[in-house]
Amino acid sequence: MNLNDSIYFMDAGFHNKKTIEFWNSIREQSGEGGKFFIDVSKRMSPNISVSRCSGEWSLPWPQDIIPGFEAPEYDPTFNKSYSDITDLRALEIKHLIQQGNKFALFYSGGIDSTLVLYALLKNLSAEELKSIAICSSIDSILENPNTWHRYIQDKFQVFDSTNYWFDDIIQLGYFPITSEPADQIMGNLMAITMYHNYDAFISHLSPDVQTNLKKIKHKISSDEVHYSAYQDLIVRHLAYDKTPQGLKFGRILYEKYNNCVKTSPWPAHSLHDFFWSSYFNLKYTNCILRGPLFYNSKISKKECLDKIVPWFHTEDYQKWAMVNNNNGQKIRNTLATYKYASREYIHNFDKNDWYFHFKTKLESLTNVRAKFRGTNVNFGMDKNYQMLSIEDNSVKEYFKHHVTNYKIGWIDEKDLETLG
Amino acid sequence: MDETKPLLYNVMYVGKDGNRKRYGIYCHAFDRWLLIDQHDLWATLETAKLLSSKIASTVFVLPNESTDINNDNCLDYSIFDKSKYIKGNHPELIKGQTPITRIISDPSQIFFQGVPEDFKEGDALNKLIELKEYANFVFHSVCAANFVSSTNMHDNASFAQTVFPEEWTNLVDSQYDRSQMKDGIIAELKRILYLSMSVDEAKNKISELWITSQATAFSDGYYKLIGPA
Repeated sequence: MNLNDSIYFMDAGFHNKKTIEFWNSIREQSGEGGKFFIDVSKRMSPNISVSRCSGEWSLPWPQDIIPGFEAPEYDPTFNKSYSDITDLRALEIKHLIQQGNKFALFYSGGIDSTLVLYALLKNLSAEELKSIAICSSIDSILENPNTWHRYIQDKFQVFDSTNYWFDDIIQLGYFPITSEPADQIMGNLMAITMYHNYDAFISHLSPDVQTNLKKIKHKISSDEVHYSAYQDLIVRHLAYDKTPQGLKFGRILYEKYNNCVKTSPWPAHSLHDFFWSSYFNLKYTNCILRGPLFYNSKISKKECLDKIVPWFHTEDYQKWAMVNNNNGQKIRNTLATYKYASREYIHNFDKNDWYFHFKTKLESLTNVRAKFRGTNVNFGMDKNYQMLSIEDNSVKEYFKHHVTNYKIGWIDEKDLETLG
Repeated sequence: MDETKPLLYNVMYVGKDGNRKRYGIYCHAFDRWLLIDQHDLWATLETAKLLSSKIASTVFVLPNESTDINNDNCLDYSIFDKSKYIKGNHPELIKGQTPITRIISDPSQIFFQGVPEDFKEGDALNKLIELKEYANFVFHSVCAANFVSSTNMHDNASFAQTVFPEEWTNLVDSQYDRSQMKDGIIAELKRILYLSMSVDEAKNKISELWITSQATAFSDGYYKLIGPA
C-alpha cells in the first residue's frame, strides 16, 4: 500500500488487544491532531465518518466516496410522502421477484424491519410473497411477538439469523434485505441518547446555562430554536469525560461537526437537525458497509455489497429526509416518538396501539458486535474493495503516517490554545 | 447491619436503616416509572417480563427512603441520570426487550417530572393510562397465581426440567399440575397475560381457561386473592 493511495473507508476501532495496542502507540507518536482523531475513535466507535457531500470534513488520509453513496442533490420541492416512498420501494422488490429473484428480509422486530415487512405484505401478492424468506432470531420474536404470530409464523420460510449471516443467505440464492440506513434517515443514536438523559447532562453546566437549556428542553425538533443554543450541552455530550481535556475534545468535535453541518447543501436548524445532518452525511456509508464487510466471511466484500439490499438507501428516502425536518415526522420530543413516520406506516397496517405508542429503540447488533470485536483485525477497505489488515505492515505505516500528520484545521491555533 | 447475614439482605430487601426496599418498573419509552411495589421483587420482575410484549422496561430495587414515589403517582417520576444504571454501548438505551434488574441506592436519582412529554393528551395519554391499568392487573395476577399454585399444585414437571439433565427424564411423563392444559395452568395464564391486548381480553380468556382446564381449586383461590372477575 502506498502513502498516496486513497481509500473507501476506515474504522479506527478499539476492538481487541491488537487494535488497541496499535492505535495507542500511534496516539503516543501524534501531535494534537492525531491525538484528537484517535480520541474520536474511542468516543464514537465505530468511527467510520465519510462525507458524502460538499460539507466541510477532513480525515487524516485521502478518502473517496464509493460510487452510489454520494448524497443526492437537495430538492426543496420534493413532496413524496414517506408512505408513498415506502410503497414504491416495495414495488421495486415486487418487480425484481417477477423477474425470478428471491429475497430474505433480516427481521429484528424493531421499527425499521417491521416497516419493511409490512410494506412487502401490503404490496406483494400471495404468490410473490413466496419468494420472501425471513431471517430472525428468538430476540426478534420477543421484540415484537404480535407481528411474529400474526404475520410471520407458518407464513414464511424462516432462517435462524444466529446461524445464517449474509454470505450464507447469498449462497442459498437470496438477496438479503436489511433495514439500513434507517437511523441516518431519521436521526441517530447520539441524538436520542442525549435527549433521554438531558437533565443529567445539563446538571454539569453553569447555573445560567442550565436555566436556559431547561427552557428549551422540549424544542429539540422545533424550528423556533437553532441548534447553537444547545452547544454547551452538545459539547458535554460529545466530551469523553468531565475533565478540561475531555471538554476541550468535545468542543473541537462540536466545531468539526458544526462546520460540516453549516456547509452541507441541505438546511439544518434545530438540535435534531444538527445530529441528523451530521450522521446522514457522515455515518451513512458505515451503516451500509458494516454488513457486507464484517458479517460475511465466505464471499467477496464487493459481491456481498452488491447483493445486499439496504432498504432505506434510495434517492427518495434521502430526499425525503432533507425536506422533512421539524414537522414531527422524525421525532417529536422523546424516544416514544422517534421514527414517527415509520410508526404511522406500521400502525396503519396492523393497528397495534401498544407498538405505536411504546416501541422503544433497543441497542442493536450487541451480540454480533461482541463476537466480531474479539477477532477483527481489518479496519478499512481500499478502492479495490479489499480489506486493510492491521497485520499488513504497509497498512500500518500508511495509517501511522497519515494520523501522526493530521492537523486540526477547522479551529484557529489561537482559539485552540484558549480552549485548552 | 447484621454482620451474620449475607449482603443480599441489604441489597435486595432491607436497607441499612431497617426499612424495607421497594421495587419499580421503569419504562424508557416515556421515561417514567410504571409500577412501584414494596413486597415482592420477583413478582415485579415477572410482571415486567409479561409486559414486554407491549413495552420494554428495566426493573429496579429502590432505596427505602426514596422520595414520595408510590404506585399511584409513579407516572410523574423519572430517573435523573440513566447512564449510571443501564450498561451497554449506549448506556441511555435499553439493551433488550425483556427486562433486567438494576439497583438505585441514591434516592435523589428519583425525581418528579410530571406527565411525560408526548403523552400529555389524546390517544397517547389514554394509552398510557391503559398501560398502567394493565400493569397493575398483571402484577396482581402474577402474585395470586404464584401463591395459589404453590398451595395447590405439585409442579413436578418444571422442577424436573430444571434439576435433571434431559436424558434422565425423556422416557417418562411428568405433570405440571392436575389441569387439562398441556403446559400447565400457570404457563397458560401467563401466556394470556403476555399476549392479550387489553385487561378485558385477558379477563375473558382467563375465565375461559378455568372452564377448559377444569382447575376449580385454582380459580377459586385466584379470585379470592385478586377479587371477583
